[in-house]
Amino acid sequence: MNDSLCTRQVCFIMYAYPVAGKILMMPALLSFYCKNDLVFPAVLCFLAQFAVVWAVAYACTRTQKTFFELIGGGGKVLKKAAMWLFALFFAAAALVPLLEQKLFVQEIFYDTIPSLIIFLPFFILSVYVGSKGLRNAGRTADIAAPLFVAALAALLIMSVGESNLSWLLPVLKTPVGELLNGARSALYNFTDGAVMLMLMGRFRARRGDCKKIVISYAASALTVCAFLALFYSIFSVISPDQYFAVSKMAIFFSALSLVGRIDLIAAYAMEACMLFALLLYVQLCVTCVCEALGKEQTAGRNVSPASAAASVAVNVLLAALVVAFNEMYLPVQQFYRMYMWAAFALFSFILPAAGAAAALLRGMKGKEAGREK
Amino acid sequence: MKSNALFGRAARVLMALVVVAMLFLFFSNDFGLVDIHKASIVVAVGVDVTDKGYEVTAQAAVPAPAQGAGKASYTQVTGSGATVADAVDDINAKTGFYPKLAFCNLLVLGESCAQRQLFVVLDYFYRNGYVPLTALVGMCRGSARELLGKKPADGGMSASAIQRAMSEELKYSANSSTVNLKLLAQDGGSKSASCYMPYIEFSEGASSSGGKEGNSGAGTGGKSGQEGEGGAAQFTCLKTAAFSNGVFAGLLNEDAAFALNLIRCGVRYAIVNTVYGGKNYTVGLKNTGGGARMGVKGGVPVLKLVFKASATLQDSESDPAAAGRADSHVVKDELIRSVTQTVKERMLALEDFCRQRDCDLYGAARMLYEYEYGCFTALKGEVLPSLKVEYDIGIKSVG
Amino acid sequence: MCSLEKNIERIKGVLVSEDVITYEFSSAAGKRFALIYVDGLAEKAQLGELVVKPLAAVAKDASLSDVRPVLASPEVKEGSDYDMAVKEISYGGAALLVDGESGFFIIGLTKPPGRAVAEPPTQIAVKGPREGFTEDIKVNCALVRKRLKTPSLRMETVRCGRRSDTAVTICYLSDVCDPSVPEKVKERIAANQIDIVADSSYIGRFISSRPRSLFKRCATAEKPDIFCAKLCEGRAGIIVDGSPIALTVPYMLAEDFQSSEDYFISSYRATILRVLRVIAVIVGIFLPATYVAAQLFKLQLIPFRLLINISSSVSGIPLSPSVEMFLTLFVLEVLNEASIRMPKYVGLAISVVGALVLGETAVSAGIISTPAIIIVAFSAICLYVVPDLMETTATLRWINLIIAGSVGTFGIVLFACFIISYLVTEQAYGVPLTAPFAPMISRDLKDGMFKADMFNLPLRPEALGGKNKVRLRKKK
Repeated sequence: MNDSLCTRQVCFIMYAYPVAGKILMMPALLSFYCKNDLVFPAVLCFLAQFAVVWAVAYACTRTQKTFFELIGGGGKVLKKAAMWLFALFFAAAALVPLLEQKLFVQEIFYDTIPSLIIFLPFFILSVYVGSKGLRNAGRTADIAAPLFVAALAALLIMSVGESNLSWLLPVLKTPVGELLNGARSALYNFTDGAVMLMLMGRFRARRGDCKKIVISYAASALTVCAFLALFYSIFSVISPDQYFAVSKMAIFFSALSLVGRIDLIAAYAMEACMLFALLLYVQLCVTCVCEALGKEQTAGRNVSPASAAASVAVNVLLAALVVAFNEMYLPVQQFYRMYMWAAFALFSFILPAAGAAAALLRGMKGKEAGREK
Repeated sequence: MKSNALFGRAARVLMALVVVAMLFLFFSNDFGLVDIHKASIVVAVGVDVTDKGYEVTAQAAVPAPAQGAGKASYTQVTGSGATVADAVDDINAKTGFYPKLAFCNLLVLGESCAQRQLFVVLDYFYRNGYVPLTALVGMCRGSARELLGKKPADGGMSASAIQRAMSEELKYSANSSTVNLKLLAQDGGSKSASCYMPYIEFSEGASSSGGKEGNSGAGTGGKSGQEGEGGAAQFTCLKTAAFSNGVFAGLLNEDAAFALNLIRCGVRYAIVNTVYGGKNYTVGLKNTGGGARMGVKGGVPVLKLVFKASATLQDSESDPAAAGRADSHVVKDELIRSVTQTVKERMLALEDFCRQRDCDLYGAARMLYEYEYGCFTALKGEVLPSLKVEYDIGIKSVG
Repeated sequence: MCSLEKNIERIKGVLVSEDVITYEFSSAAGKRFALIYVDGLAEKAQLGELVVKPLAAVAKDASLSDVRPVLASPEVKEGSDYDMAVKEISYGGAALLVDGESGFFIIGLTKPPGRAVAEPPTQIAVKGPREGFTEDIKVNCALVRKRLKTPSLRMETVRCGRRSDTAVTICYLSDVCDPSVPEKVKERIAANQIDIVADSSYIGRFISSRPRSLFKRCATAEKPDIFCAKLCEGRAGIIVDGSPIALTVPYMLAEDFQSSEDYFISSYRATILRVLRVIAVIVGIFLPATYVAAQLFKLQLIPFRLLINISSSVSGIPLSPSVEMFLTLFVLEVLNEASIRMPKYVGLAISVVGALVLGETAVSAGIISTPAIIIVAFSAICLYVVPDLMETTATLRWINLIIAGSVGTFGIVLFACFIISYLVTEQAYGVPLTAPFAPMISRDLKDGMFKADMFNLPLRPEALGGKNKVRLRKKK
């Protein structure tokens, strides 16, 4: 048992970060595939992911072991392979959000398109935060989640006046194939099951904690769906072209003509949370690498050299990929939509569900053994 | 311990390098950015179609080297090119200032733009991520360059005066069919495929009180510096330009534009003049409810236009308030009937326009698609020819 | 038999200094005595009254044991270790030597020069006590004891400084404070030996887990009421001889946003003031940087009409926005430094010259713009709202400015993220620096940004993890 986090922090992570990771490009993407029915593919993905998160959260209350400790019985090789694979998965999961963040940063922080070099300081932060481990992620969530909620609420309040819900009609007239296609295309945004799986065994889950985590995730799903609906009801037919909705939805708020773009302050606050959500992937990746290497992430109160080295390596890799794909966001996104969905299905849906099942079986066996004694 | 120290040292060296790099960037400050010194803050853009392509006129606020607040001077520059983007680039080349469109809140299309597909003309503004979708759009009589070159009565920027003529207040009083880039695209891209924008006209009166401010006229665009030298211009947007499938469909006269505004612009308070018994009466109508409702009766789409308002007498040629009557604001029943008839006539004028020009300004096809999807598919999108419009105008006098 | 001369020589041989006075006198019976003390530290008049006069009147040949009852001074220690005598004399005591005796008495009649108790220059409360600590550790301890008459108040004195041998008193309430905290403080003080402890800030660094950090690890208190309130919350306090600023640990960042007055006024008003302080500090740190970043990278951050005004002001300025702000901030820091260090009457002239002449002339000469001066001045005022954090926030303002001028608005957000990431895992004596926000401690949030009424704060802060949680009991 590694008490890096507490249940509240897990709830914050499972509420704020899934929203932060999904409201940047997913609204435009889904409106391209499903037009006014964009909420439904998201609901499909969320339902499946919700079941997985619920199963893992329930398993957390039954075992104090991490996923890797659970599969340790299958042999060291399996355990190490799983750690490396998950590390790779989190690095891969970070790539598209990184490219999205780069474009978002260029759009909302600058009046003219700046060069890539402007975005690269992110990796300095990423090296630092990545090496600090999950305790840091939890504590950061304590600050980031309330900030995110406040900023999102401010943006939604400013945006809601411009919305016209009739644009969402007629409901479910988009062909099922398109909806499924949309869901498949959006799948690369869904890593919540994998994140929950990695948090397993890193906090002391008590009775009732499962409910709290599941409610947090359900709230997250509702927030995303509400955001998608609001987004389409504001932009309707021009939605597919409205990338980075968070910076555009509130501009119609009449007070902005007097006080200037105060909505950008909320957008910047959200951006900070989006960066933390992205950094969680890096932190999880570094954690997996350190565990695969059998090294501790901290030495006393300081970051261990192994963790620092792993963080540097992961970030160098990600930075190299970002530089290499600097002008290739759409091809990369297309690759993720067309081919990587299977990887996301495996790591975010199937493996977490299997992990939860393993934890529950182990828990039951433990109980039976206890009874026999 | 050794590796710890090594990492510490490496981190310190790296940090020092980062600090040096940042200090270099900070003090050199010349890495291709367009700062406040190099940017011209464009507040309005006019687009005209020419034989060679497009002519774009940008009205930009010019910082005067003076301390303290005050009215900004402005300049107007015209560039030309094969496309709008090419013309904007021409402005950059001519002035050396990078035109920042982030504050551009007005797009004026010259009359010549009616020859082209609307969304082709506006394409640059939708593609350019920095032009706000809140920018107001209007079509003008004559050329946009000429319009922007006019000097308004207050001596300020013509863009400000035009924006005032297209303001929310005028929209809510049915005097302007104000739309922005977003609404335009939404209407044009909807199942109705029709959109509208205010038609800006100007009239020249007394000379302006501009003083020092006003058109400093960079002159790079030819006549732009001189055009404002005549009398002060007054801008109105009482007419409305209509587009169907992106093609200019015609101009709505003031009456039809008034009706369109009642239906589409969420009017709060409108003023209607009516003649009754050979005398003029002006009645204020406070919108108390209504809107457009789409239904299907016997397979025929029926659009019910509802307008409910409470009326007050604003002005009367026959019954002056100075006579000391307590109920001077009350509108008589016969006058109510006359006002109702006037509103209905205006709505019929709009209906005639829509049917004649096959221009679904009501958004009927969109509503049918949204609320009666089956009927919409049965009609294969041909809604307007089979549309039946019903009117429910209920005006009551205030007590 | 030890002769008086020999004993005097044993002390004077070590304390070879002209300010160490030896006063020899005889009793009525002819017995010789000597008083050795440091001129200015010992209270001479009292020594004459309470020591010399009674001894001079003794009519018989008195031994050491006969002398003790004669001494009228209340603080008398008998000793025979002359090293100890040397130390005691250095601390301000007087050594009484008796002819023919190897032992001696230390008379504790010290009166070191020092200020009277006065209101401190910072931590001023309009409503509330006005007494402040002085440089005298005894006075300071007495001020604490005056407010905390509980027997559980512990004051343990250790000495630090190889040459200054400065007294450092660690105060805590034994039934409230986590016992590991004072122990750790003592350990850390003992682990550091320096020539002189000139101020409590030296001790502040000694007892800090990260002394090089930009963020401090212990809070300061200049007033005994604040100090005592913190002891009652479960903290340990450190009073250093020669410093009017006491320290308290564990430290939480939120402490600096709290004022003693918050506890004396309405909780509504206190909450408003706390929010205001937080906003002021954020504005103070970020405003100059945001202004520069907006001008360089994102004009949309400035409302249009304001932008036109700013644009008018900066046109014709030969400096880039970042260098302009850098220079303005530099001038502010120079003026600030000069007006603090200069004698008061010159300081006044400096501020007049700086504010009026320099500012006005620089603007009219077109070197810097009016908005830059307004922004810098407002930022300075904002940071002074929380003076205890001034050194940190002023440094952060510089860092932010450099980042804004080089990387832009995104750099500011990145730096904010970095600061959050850094702070959330930092801790002082096991207490997270960012508590009660991260980790979020709901009970302590009532006295964080929000200030609940006294009756809603019946428990001591959970973050401090001390014993005896209840601080307010209401009798039914």
